[in-house]
Amino acid sequence: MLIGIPLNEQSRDESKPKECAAQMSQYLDTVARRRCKLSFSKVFSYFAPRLRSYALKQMGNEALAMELVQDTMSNVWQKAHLFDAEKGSPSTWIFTIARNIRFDMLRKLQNRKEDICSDDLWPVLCEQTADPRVADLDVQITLEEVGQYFENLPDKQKAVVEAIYIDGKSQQEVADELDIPLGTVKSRTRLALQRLKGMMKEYD
Amino acid sequence: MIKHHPSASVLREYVAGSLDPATSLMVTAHCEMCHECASLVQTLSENYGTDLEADSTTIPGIDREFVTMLDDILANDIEQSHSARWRQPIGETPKIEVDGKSFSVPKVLGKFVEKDLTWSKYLGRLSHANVNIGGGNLAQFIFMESGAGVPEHTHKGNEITLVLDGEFSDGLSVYKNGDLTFMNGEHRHSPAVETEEGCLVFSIIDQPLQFTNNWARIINPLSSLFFHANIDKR
Repeated sequence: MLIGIPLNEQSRDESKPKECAAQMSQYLDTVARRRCKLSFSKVFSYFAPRLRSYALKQMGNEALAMELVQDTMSNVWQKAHLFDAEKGSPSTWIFTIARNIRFDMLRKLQNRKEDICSDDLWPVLCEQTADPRVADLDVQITLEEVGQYFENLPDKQKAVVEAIYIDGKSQQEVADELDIPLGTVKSRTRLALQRLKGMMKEYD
Repeated sequence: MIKHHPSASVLREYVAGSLDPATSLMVTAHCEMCHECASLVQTLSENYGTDLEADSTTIPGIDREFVTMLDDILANDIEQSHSARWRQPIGETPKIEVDGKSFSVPKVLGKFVEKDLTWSKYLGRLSHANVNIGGGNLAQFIFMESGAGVPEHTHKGNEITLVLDGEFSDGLSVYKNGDLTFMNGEHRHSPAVETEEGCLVFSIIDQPLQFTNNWARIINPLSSLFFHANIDKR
């Protein structure tokens, strides 16, 4: 539990849309640079209820709506460094993240077989590498380092990590391919990374 | 100058994420070629962002759920930016080769042209290469040489076509680079290419074509056979 962080600060945040956008941008920036939990909780308390209203209208189901809020805000927490205030306001960015998640949820619900997911259409959360040569070198070194530890992972975690970090697939694509829930992909990734981190620390 | 755009309502649905995947793919590809629609998409996203902020209705007890959710999210403190280093660079323009020429295609189609395309000729001056987008759709790149044409037909379902390079006309209009057309059972047309350079399009149909021209009608069963033999076999 996070104690001492008030969740209701709407009175202040709702003052003026422009000021609010500037403030939210600043919080996102702090999250990206310092992993600041307090700043994130401000962004969360402003957007979570709004995302819930949006999601409830779209999905018409409380459980799905809350799932959409959680997935969206998780991405905001983990990918805050991809937010670019020059390209648009925080609300636009967060809308596009939520829209992408909803698109994939709908696709699953309607059992659509198209091999097209939201990341293909709107690469909102794609990590871009500016210089391909730098990336190649980095990939080589990192893979060499990690390669030996990687072999020690359980097969299921290995498969997920390989698909995401080596083949560059999105978590949604991996979920579709392995026919497992998105949440499972996420938890396997998390567990694998924690394990790798642990192993690397041990031998460092 | 691009003249054939998705309608305002199609664009709205697209940005909202309610449009079906195949049509969304086509709209994304069109937006890569059309600045006008790309900037409309940006404006629409901003409007949806503003709408998102408008409604902060809550229900009793939800705050507690949100606190738990916040804790869950914060507990997952793996910084994902590190994964950037492991990612392959993206963003190069995909290319396809046909008729001894090389063409750039929209990035969103890159995923489908990674594997070598297999071109086959039919109806004389027309080559096509199927790509598997799934979902019972027939998606193909079609290259029409100068003088090539498809007999007059209508559609049982929907046909969406994006002109990637060159121009063709079909008796209804002329289509050039970046033009996106939507055809259904209400349209009869006979696409043909008269320019020297030929014309490359990307097209998706969800049902076989129905030929209407007298002599071509005899190939309708073949058209159906062709459609079903060529869609993905999952």
